[in-house]
Amino acid sequence: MDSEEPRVAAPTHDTPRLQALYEENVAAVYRFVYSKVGNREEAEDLTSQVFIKAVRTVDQARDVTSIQSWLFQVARTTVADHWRRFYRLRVNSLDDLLDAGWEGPVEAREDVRSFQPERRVRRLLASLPDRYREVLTFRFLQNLSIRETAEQMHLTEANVKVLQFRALKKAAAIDHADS
Amino acid sequence: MDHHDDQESAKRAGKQAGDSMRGDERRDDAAERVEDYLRLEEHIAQLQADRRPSRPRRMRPDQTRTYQMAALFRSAAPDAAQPDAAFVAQLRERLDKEIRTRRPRTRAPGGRGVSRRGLLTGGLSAAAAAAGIAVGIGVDRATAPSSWPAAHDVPLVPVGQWISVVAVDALPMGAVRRFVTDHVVGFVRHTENGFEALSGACTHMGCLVAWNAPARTFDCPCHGGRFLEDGRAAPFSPVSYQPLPTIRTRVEAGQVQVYIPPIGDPAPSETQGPQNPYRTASGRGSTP
Repeated sequence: MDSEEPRVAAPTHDTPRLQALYEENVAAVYRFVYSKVGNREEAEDLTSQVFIKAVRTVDQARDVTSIQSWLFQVARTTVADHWRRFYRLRVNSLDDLLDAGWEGPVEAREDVRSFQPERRVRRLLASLPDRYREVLTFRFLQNLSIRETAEQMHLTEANVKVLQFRALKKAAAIDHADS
Repeated sequence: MDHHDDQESAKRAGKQAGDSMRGDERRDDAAERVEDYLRLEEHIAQLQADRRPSRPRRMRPDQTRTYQMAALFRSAAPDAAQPDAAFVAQLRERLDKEIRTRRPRTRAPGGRGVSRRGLLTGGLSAAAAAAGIAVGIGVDRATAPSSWPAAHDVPLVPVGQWISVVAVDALPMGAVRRFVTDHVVGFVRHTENGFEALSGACTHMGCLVAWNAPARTFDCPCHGGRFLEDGRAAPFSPVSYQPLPTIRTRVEAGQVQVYIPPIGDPAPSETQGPQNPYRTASGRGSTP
């Protein structure tokens, strides 16, 4: 039984590899997760989950490149699992996950180190109507409050709330159509 | 009531915005409700405070995508998506423990310990527990400084060995070069005394230091520790840690080699020598 298993230390060559895996990828995994949840609390929680899963289940036979793809895969499924709980999606429905924006396992080859959410944001901004682009730039890229954004755009605060809602909705539609 | 006023003004705004918007924008407002604007703004405000947002009501997939878009755009805020150094250090310690107790097959243990699922889904409580563990380990480490790998009860290398890290020609006087062996990350320097090497693991909690060429210091990203190029804590370092351990070097066939000692024996007799005795992190000399 499990409890009878002797404590087996990881093979000699494995420990530094896992440490290197962490050192080299923690920032990229965090960035990836953050782009999916948008706040530090959850990003830290999920990043921890990703690496704990990774050290518990990593297949030592993999080469470095393949371990990185696999790590990214763990990150994706961890985020998908989180979304499923957050949005109360039906369990075990891959369609729901895909509908909810999960990109699925096929892109696992994407390199975790080169993942750049900013690029995707820029691309989306470029394809939005001017006012949508402006409101999102003020609110998110420049981190302005509703009030500051309202002043900048000569709108009421309530207008800004409407506009940012529509801008994000539009961006989501464009993004979804692209993928 | 604030909420009511909010709703009223948003309702008006929705209409005004709709009126003043051009065709393609107006088409987007189909089936919107005032609550949608307010709820999304509440969500965004939580993201901007970097807090876990409250769970939304059940929504359609296209609605969830709008929320996910908010997360994506939030990650483009200045500095938003960089991990906090303290978090990185804590997780490192957590993983360190995890690796040391790693089993060949991990299944949720029925009796003792915490189930894997419990750990993975425990959210805040698991995170808090992890943080507690990390703090405990951190204190241990601080009193017995060692690089991260050395903390393991597993020998990293069975016997000491010399490893080539850079060609002599590629390292002019004054140059500093990072090297990575299977077991050690460090820096080799060409000084007036010859080639010298240092461990790249901060003596505080084992974060990997980076060479800051303009300042000629090794800087630790985790807690801001800074070391002079000879490995001593810099006088201007916000925290003064033990010096970075030196690693013995030699030149062989045009290559600078570093000596990676067997673990558990940080000061083996063969490391004695006029240049670069291997020193433990606590600063003791290697000469018995």
